[in-house]
Amino acid sequence: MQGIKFIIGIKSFLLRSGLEGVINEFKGAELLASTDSIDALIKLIGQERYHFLIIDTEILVELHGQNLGDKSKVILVQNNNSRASGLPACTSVVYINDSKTEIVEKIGLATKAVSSKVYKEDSSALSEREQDVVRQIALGGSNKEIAGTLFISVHTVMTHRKNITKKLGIKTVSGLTVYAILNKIINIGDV
Amino acid sequence: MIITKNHRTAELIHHDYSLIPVIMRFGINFGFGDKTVEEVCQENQINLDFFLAIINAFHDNDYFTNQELNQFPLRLIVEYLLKSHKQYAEVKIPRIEKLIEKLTWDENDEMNKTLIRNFFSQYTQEVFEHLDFEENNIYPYITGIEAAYESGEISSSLASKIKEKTISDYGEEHSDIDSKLLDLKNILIKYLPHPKNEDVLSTLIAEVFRFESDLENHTTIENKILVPRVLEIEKKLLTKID
Ligand SMILES: [Fe+2]
Ligand SMILES: [Fe+2]
Repeated sequence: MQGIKFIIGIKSFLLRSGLEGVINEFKGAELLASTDSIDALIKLIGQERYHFLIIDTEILVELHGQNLGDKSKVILVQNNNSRASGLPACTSVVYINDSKTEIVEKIGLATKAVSSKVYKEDSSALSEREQDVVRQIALGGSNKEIAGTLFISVHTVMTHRKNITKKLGIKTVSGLTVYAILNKIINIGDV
Repeated sequence: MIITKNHRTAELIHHDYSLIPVIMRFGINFGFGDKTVEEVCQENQINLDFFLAIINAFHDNDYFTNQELNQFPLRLIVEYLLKSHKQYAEVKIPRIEKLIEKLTWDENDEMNKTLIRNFFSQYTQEVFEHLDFEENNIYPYITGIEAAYESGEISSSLASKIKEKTISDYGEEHSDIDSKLLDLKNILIKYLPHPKNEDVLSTLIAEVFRFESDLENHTTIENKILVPRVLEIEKKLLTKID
């Protein structure tokens, strides 16, 4: 949860303090602001660089059509099964009578998806050379074979592998093979 | 919160539902009404203190370090670990497999599913090899060595096994089964195209996270509790042999 920034916009004082408590317990999470006012919230959405906006249905209704910002950043707090129709779909929905564990898990899951997105934006995509290496790994080459095919040293192959794993979050050969096929670096028939 | 014998069993689950599989593997059935932990343990002939130590360790991982689990006989811990193995094989892994089968996409449906299915089946094969190895080699050795220590009788085959360093090797190369799960999580979260039924994918991801954390706790018991204690017993037995 390192560096993930939240804004809370909830009318009910009790709900708002509850969620502030949950966010403050996440290690490394940052609560930029917490408010019950629509005007303050609209300002915050416009000005702050945040990752998640936690709001209740009432606020969502009032904000709807206005500057809700990026919908994929919204975590909605609502009464059970009371999904108001016509409202945009949100990344995550927390119900009022969810247990603490459920709430922590839901927010954790939502942020995992985003922190990988943040990570992906920060780190550049695989370089062409790295893609070559991924292709050879997926085809089953050993470090030595890959070095031979690409006319580079074994040491360089190992450095590429390390960087690839760091960028993708995938370590094993079978995992890299799945990645290579999904990203059309190789065809499924080649493996 | 530290869970005590006077807590109601239902309360544990309200408080931390990730404890459900742990409670189930002890053989406790749902429908416990307002019975306390002490009462359900009595009913099911479960060692109360051991149950509390395991439940607290899973609930709060810091609890692992306070050595609470060290007071119990190794055979009790091994018996518990065997039950977890059974639950992984019969419940957790099949559940993940079923969710994978349910995923559908508008485009490349068959290819996506085949990729995930094959990746996971390679993984489970490794897991099953790991579990089999422990069940056939490591666990019997551990209960054998504890029995020898208690009775003071060491067979010559056990003596030679101690000298083979089975356990210190095991302790050293033991965490290999997590790295593939980390890959799987990243593939599911970052690289797999959005499926038609996103609810299935979210459930699948959550299920993999739960399996992983359960497996981590399981491995912690093996590495931090079992291995050091066996090494200690081995040392004591070796002085007797020589
Ligand atoms: Fe095990
Ligand atoms: Fe193990």
